[in-house]
Parts: sequence; structure tokens; C-alpha cells
Amino acid sequence: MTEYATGTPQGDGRYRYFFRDDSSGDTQRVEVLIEAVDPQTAEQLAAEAALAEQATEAVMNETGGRFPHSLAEYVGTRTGTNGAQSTLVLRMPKGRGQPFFLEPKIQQTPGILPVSPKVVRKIAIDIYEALTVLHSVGYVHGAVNTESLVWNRREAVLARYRRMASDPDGRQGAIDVADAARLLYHVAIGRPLNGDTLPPGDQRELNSRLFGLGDLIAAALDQQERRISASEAWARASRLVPVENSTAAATPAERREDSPEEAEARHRFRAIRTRHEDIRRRRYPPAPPSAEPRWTPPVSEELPSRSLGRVLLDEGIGAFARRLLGRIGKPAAAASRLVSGKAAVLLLVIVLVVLLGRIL
Amino acid sequence: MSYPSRPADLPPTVNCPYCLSHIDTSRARSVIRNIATQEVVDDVTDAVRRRGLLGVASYDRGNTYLECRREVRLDLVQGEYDYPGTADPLDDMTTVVMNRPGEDSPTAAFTDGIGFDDPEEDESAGPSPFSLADDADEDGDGWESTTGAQPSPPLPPPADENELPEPHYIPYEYCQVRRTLNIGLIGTSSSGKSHLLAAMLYRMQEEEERLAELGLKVEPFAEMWEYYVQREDIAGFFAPDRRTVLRRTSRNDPVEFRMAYTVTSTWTGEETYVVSFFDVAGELFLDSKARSRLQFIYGLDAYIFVADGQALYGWGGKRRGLRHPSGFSNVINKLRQNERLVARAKGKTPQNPLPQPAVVVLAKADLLLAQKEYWVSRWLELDDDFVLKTVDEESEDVYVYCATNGAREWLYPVNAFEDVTLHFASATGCEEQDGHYNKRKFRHMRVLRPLLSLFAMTGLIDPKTINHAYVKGVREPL
Repeated sequence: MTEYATGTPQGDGRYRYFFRDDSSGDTQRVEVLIEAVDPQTAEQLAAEAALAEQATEAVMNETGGRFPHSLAEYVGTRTGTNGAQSTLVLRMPKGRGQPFFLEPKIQQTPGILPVSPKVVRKIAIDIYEALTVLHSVGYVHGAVNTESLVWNRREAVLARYRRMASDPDGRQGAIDVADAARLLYHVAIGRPLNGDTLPPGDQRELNSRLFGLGDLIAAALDQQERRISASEAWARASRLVPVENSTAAATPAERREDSPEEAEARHRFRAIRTRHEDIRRRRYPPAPPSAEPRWTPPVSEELPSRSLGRVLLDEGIGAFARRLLGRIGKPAAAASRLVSGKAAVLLLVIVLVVLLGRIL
Repeated sequence: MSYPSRPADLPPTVNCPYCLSHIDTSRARSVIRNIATQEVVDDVTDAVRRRGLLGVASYDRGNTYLECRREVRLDLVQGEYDYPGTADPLDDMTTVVMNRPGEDSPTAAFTDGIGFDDPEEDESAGPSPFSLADDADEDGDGWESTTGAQPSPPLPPPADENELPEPHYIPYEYCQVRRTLNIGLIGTSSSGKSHLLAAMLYRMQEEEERLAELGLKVEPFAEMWEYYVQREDIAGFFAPDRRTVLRRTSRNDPVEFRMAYTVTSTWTGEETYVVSFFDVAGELFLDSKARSRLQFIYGLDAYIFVADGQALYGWGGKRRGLRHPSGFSNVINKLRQNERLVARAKGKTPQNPLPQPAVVVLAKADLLLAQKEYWVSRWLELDDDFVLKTVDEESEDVYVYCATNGAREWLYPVNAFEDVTLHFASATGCEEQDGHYNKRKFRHMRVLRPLLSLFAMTGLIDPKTINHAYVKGVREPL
């Protein structure tokens, strides 16, 4: 473990992550070591290393040797700390403190999210820059999420390549763009996005925190044929504006304590409001919840029906009672758990009485 | 006059927002009006029936109106009553279908004293012995015998200031859009309704992008905005180097939308609404004779009650009461009475509170701010037109302020309507002096917030933005 100079290692159950100074002596960069914890993940890591090497080579060829800060550069593989398992070594910018992978950090400290609007903006810029570079060299990342992202307290770096794939005609890039939008929603709001589109309320909320973010995410989650490209998303991310100050100017000062007269008036107003809300609830009732399918006795047309005795032995007295009620032409009663429960108890009592009668 | 059919781009009937009757579009005239002079300048009925609004020259489409006159009205108020051939037994503001002898088409007649002649003005009683003869030109030489003056051409009779003008005109585009949101400003004379509306409309123009963030795409209706800002007093009010006071709204001004917008809301699934604003003279609300002109209030979808902040009197940190009545109770009583009578006619239970949303705006609040009123100062300086999550908190504070400063009359709408928010606002940010506002102090303070709150309460934007639930037409619980 002493091989790794800086910080506490992170882990997510399948991999362990270490950070150390750059072995080539570049003081502006650090190395991240991704270590597999078992043979299965070691195989996956070896495959990932091959992909990372390909991507690095493609980017180097395209840019003439310069590597973007927002993408981790392949350095090599080596034996892990336990001497048997492989380790993938990547290089990334140093930043301003101990870097960390986002997902293990969220697991360890859930309160870390949501992050500040400025950090969201930086993550948006970096992640879409990384995707723009990757897409321009004919690859898609395939797994843009909190597991792939490293934050070095100054920049966000896309540091995993495990699902990278070749995409010469650029058709799959839209998936990366949408995944990045989901990631931005997660870090900005503090919870993962449910569904495939951004609800209007969330769009407004995001825009109110970071002007333009809601629109960017909505455009990145649009239908695939209308979705913006990574380069467009990168350009839009550069134009995001934090709006923290305007919100502060719009918040009223702390309310002073009410006088008794004022407190009574406030109480009265709240009572009226509650009463009127009740009236509105009756006038404009919410849509009824979708009815849950209730249990009905199985009537299988494909399978031969089982005998009651088999049902009693296999599923117990409750199922037996339901099946019995179904057979005697009372499917509604059979569907009711209460009725079938009563029938089951009744049957149980009859069986016990018969047994006791025989014994006595 | 017979026409082949109704205009292809209009439904068979449309509702008149002014007299609340149904108009048969196959019989109504389409005309071009000069908005500045209110005069009809051309009849384009034939062209409109052939090709719809496309039959009108493009520069005149915004000035095309549908004429609402008695002959083209089909039925009773909003189709709610059905007493053909009889006078309406219920209410004073309803129109009743009547067939005049010898006429095939039904016409509408007003009760409410409009249809019943004043006995003092009964022509059958003969001319007054003290009146001059109609024609003083006894010798027929074209000169009046009594005065020696050439008689002037006959003038149209002066419009009755208490009556709804007949006929009246509805913007053609308004008839094309099925969803409308008619908003009325209620308040007494000089309460600041017109100033508030002007400031509100100006801010709506300014804040197009932030409205878009709320899911609203707002466009001025037809060419109304151009004509509105060309009015001399409005132009002076908006001009940064002038800032003049708006002229007082006359009770003779036509009862028409002061301004209207087409609003497309993403929240309602890209549906387009016409949002129109009625602003009439405040004295009408206190005048029992003006019932006909005020008929529009029964067809409004939402209400903005404008309370005059200058009406509060009293010093020493405590206000004692109001200098003049607000007129709110008159309007609310009329609406409640209408609701009760309509419900009874339909065999239903009257809805109490009234089933519309309303906002109460404490206008000219800058004058209260100058007196260092705590509750006003807590809110009025904030730039929070679009921070709607604090609307309920503000409403509480306004309620507390009014309830404890002798202004309980302003709180009538809170009990009367099903959903109400209350706001501090100022259209100008300073007091007028000699017909002008101080150019350096002039600013619109929180004028858009009441309107956005009203939009949320009508379901035009997400009601959750103001933390309200159970809004008409919005079936989603909070």
C-alpha cells in the first residue's frame, strides 16, 4: 500500500482506487490506479485497459500529442498491491486537493450532493469537452455516470473506459450526451433522474440555480433525432451562468415575531386557506390512482388444473380455500382475502374437529 | 343581408366577453376598425366568409372585429337560462331571447331596466311643454326660425355612460382561439388600476425570456400593443425622459379589453390562450346604474382586486382605516348574487366560495414604504417577481397587515374566492407631482408577481410554483 503516496484509497466493492504523484515527474499531473479486487473484475479491467490504450492513442494522433484535461490518459497496467491482480494506471490533472471518484464518495457521504452551481457548471463543461474529443476520434464512452467521474477539486475528469466502443459514423454519441445530462441532473439536484425526459418543474428549478442548465439538460434528453451533439452541449455548458446572487436578493428578511393581534390574523388566514383548499379538493379532485390488479384465482388454460388436495399440500390451507371458493362459483369471494381467509379458518376448524372426533 | 355561410375559420358560435351572449357567426358582420378612433372603416364580411381572415389584407387582419349586435345573438347568458318569450325572472344582468313580431331571427333584449322604459322619458306622454320643437324651421328655408342658424347635420345620439355600447366589437382573433382567460381589474377611481396594468404589461414585454422559463410564450394580441403604447399618456408613462401620469379612465371609455395577449403554455401542453385584461373606470363599481356596462364581470375567469395604498389613514405606527370604500364588496356581492341565481335556475347548489381565483394587490405600496411600515418593507424592495415559492408567505403578511391596520375591507376577496393570493406592489415606485413621476425614483416594483400568481392559480403555469394544489383543470395533486 505504501506504493500509493496520496490520500485514502477509495473502493466500490469491485475496484479500489488510489492516487499518487505522476511517475514521469510531471508536477501538474497525478496518476490514478484502478485495482481489481477479484479475478473476474481483473479480466474486465484488462479489457478496459486495452480500450483506454486505444482511446489515448486515437486522441494523441488526432490532437498531435496534447491530451485534454477532462479525459484520463492511459499510462499502462501493472501488478496490483496483492501481487496477483492487475491494475490499470491512468494519468489526470492534479487539481487542488485529494481527487476522488464520485460514486464511492456519494456512497460514503450522501450529503455531498447537490453540489454548488459553479461546480455543476465546471462538471458540465469538462464532461462535454471529454465527450466531444472522444466522439471526434470515433469513439463513444458508453458509461458516463458517477462511477466514471473523478473530481480533483478543480476539474472533472472522465476516468473510466470500460464500455467504450468504436463509433465511426457517430450514431451512438447521442447516448453519451443523454447520460451526461442525467449525471448533471444528479449532481445538481442531488438525486438521480427518474424517467427519460426532464419534467418542466425540474427544468425551471435547474434554470433558477444555474441559468441555462435546465434547458441544456432538456435539450440533451430530447428525442434522439433532435438531441444536441456533444460539441453543442459543450458550447452551451460554457454559457451557463450561476444565479446565486439574484436568489439572495429575492428572499425576504427573517420575519419578526408577531404581536398577539397579528398572530391571530395570521392564524385566521391560514384557517381560511386550509378550508378553501379542502373545498378545491372536493371541486377538482385529483385523478384517481390507477387501480392495482387484484388477486384472482388462477384459471390456467394451458396447464391441467391441479386437484384441491395437491393445492392443499403445495400451497396450504389459504390457497386451498381460495381455489375451493373459485370452484363453487364464487370468484368474487375468492378474490377477497378476507373472505378466503375466513373460509380457510373454517376449514381448519372442521379438519381439527374431525381429527379430534376420531381421536376421542 | 344574407351570406352563404359562416367564416370557415370560426366556430358556429362564439361567446361575447362583453355582454356574455352567444353570437351566431353565420350572421355576424366582420368589420375593420380604426382602434384609435373606435370607428368602423370597412365591412369585410363577404371576404371573411369566403376565405376567413386570409380574405383580409394582411395589414388589416389585426384590426378585424366581429360585430356583436342584438340580431346576431343566439341565446341567454352563457346558455344558462332558457325562458324563451319571457322576461328573465331571475337576474338583472341576463339577456333573454325574444322573437319580435314579424322577425324570424331571435333577438336579445336586456332586462335590468334597460328593456323597461323610464316612465319619465315615456314618449307617449308627448313632448314637454317647456321643450323646443324638434324642427324650428317653420318656413322650410333651411334656416331655423327661432335662432336664425343653419341646422347642423343630425349627430348620433350620445352613448349612455351606463349602458354597454350597442353594437360592440370583438377582435376576430379572439373568436378563433377556443381557450380564453379574461382578467378584470377591480378597484375604485384612482386606486391605481390603469397604472398597475400598464406596468404589468410593460414588464411582460420586457421579461419574455424569464416567462419562457416558466413555460410561457407571450405575444401581444393582434396589434393591440402597438396601439396601446401609441396612446399619448401611455407613451409618456413608459418614456424614461417623461414619466407622465396616465389619464384617468373615463366611465365613457368603451368596455373592451385594454390589452390582450396570446399565451402559449408548455405546462398545458402547448395550448394557446388569449389572456385579456379589462380595465374600466373605478366609479362604475360603486354606481348601481352602471350595471349594464359592468356585465363583463360575470364572465371573467380571474380577478385582480386593486387596493389603493394611499387610502389608508392614521399615523404613529398604526393605521386607523380607509379614507374611501374600495368597491370590492359591491363587486363580490354582485358575483355572489349571480352565482346564487344561476345555481337556483339550474337546480344546483351555489358555489361558495366563488369558483374563480383572485389576487389582491396593495398598490402604491411605495407610499407605505416611505412610512417605514414593517410588513411592506419586508417585501416591496425585493426583486422577486419570478420567485414564486414565497407567494403564500407574502399573502400571509399582506393579510396580517390589512387586518391589523383598519383595512379589513380589502380582505373580502380572501373569503369570497376559492383561491386568493395577496401582494404588495407599486407601479411607479414614487409619488406623482404635477402630473409627473420622479424619473430617478421611477420603477415598477413587483407588478408581475400578482399576474404570475394568477396564472398559477388558473393552471396556465404549474400551480406547484406557488405551492398550490387542486386547481381547476389541473388534475394532479400536490
